[in-house]
Parts: sequence; structure tokens; C-alpha cells
Amino acid sequence: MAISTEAEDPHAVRSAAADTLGVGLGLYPLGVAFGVLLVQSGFDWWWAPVFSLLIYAGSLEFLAIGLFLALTPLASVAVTTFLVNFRHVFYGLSFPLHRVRGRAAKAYSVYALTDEAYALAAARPGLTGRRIVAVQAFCQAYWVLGGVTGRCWARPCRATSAGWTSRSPHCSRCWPWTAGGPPGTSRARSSRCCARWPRCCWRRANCWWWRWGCSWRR
Amino acid sequence: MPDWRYVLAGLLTMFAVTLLLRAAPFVLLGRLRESGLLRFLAATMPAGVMVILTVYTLRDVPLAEAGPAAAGLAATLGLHLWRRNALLSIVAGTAVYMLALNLT
Repeated sequence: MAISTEAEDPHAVRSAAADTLGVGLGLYPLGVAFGVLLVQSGFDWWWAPVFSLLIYAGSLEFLAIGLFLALTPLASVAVTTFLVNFRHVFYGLSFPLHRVRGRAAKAYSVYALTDEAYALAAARPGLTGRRIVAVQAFCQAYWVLGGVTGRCWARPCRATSAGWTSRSPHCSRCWPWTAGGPPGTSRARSSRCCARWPRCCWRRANCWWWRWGCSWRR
Repeated sequence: MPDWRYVLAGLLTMFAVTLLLRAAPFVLLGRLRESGLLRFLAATMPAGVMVILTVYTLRDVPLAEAGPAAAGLAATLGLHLWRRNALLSIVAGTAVYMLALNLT
């Protein structure tokens, strides 16, 4: 494939959407899994985008939850990060950053140089700079969106199928919000659940964003 | 959950180290462009890292799920060698794995 210039690539964003469809199918569910784990671990849901914007390295984010819950010293956090993400050093050696124009775009491209971004750029040697950045932005969008929607998908743990649900201790009990609403209302399905976690259940079921995001699953 | 200031400090630490690791090769490249070892690493290590990631993924597969994992892997590899379509390989391979896991 010939290396085309920026002017020859007016559909960079649309092409990037097509390029990332395959990895998006992996990134989004992983993001969802991350969001579920984060919420189950006791973090508020909005930590998911904060994690994903500050770290943006999937495997490390999963590790981070455990590290933070154990109150790991920051020096150990730094060492763990170094060991887990050391592989990224090798990606930069052949990543076509010289094709990305502009300081801000270059900085973002380095920041968002994940396994997926490298793999996509390596598999398509002719990508223009603009398309590379668009590919990275799409990948991060899938991941962040997955993390945010994780709390919606956290609910149906009872619909288990092997290899699908996380094996958190919370799942084996009962999800507070599987009940669907406060006790005594038409939305309450399992009073046992609500009795166990009344505050949690009631609050989640009554949040506008919860109904808006998850009502179609009922 | 832990104090939010501690979590934020931890996140910023991870941010800084990750960014340093991702930016390091571009700084190094300017100085060591002539290095043969660097060119060798640039050409071979990405594939090497992918191999490590694959082995790392398969390492923890329990014995009971080895069959489905092998079936999924075979479907993914076979389809990819045949059609060279990443999307098809990923979706079909995952489907085969899920089917095998739930039917056995």
C-alpha cells in the first residue's frame, strides 16, 4: 500500500471507524468487565472514566483496582506499572509517529499507544497520521464507554452462562439492584434482596441515569 | 473504597510511568538511530510481545476448559489463515469457544 498524504485521506475518521471495528469488539466488553469490577469493588461508577483517561492501559487498570484496595505504597505502584507496561517500549521503536502531524496530535498518539493501537498501525502500514490518531481515539472511546456502561451490565449476574459472568463474591449472593426498585413498589421483584441492601437498591433503581441506561434490560 | 486522594495519587503515578515508557523509544530513537540492535528489536519484539501476551492468556486456562480453548484457538487460527479477515476470526473464534464451553 502506498503511503498517502493527508490531503488524499479526507475520510480518515470514517476509515478509522472501520479499522477499529474488530478491536472494538474486544475493547468494549473488556471495558464493561472493568466497569463491573470497579463498581463491585466499592468504587463509584465515575471512577471508571477517571481510571481509563489517566491510565489507559487495560491490564494495568484491572491490576490497579486490587493495588488500591490493598493500599499499596506509591513506590510499589510505580514498580508494578513499570513491569506490566514495559512492553510498550518496543512498540514505539516501529510505530509510525513521524506521520502524525502537530504537537498535540503527537502527544496524544504517544499517550494512547496501546497494544491495540500498535497492532492496527502495524497491520496497515499505509495509514496516514490523521487516521492513526483517529484509530487511537476510537479505541479509547470504546474502552471508556465500556467502563461507563459497566454498571448497567453489572446487573444480570443471575443469567449465568459459563465463561460469561465474573466470579465475584457479590454475584453468588444477590445483586442489590436485581430487585429493580424499593420494597412495596411495582418495580420491586425480590424483597429479600432489598431487605439486605435497602439503601443501595433503592438509590440505584431510582437514579434517572440508571433507568435511562438500563430500563431496556428489564 | 480507599481515600480518593490516595487513589488519585496512585492513578497519577501509573499515568506518569506509563507515559514515560511509551515516550522513551521516541526519545531513544533520535539518539540511537544507527544502532543495529535497536533495529533488530524494532523488527522482532512486537511479534515477540504478542507471543508473550498469547502465552500469558493461555497459561491460566484450567484443564477443564482446555478443550473449548483449543477449539476456539483452532477456529480463530484456521479462519484467519483462510480468509485473512480479523473481524471474522475474532467473532467466529469467540463464538466457537463459547459454544464449546457451554455445550460440553
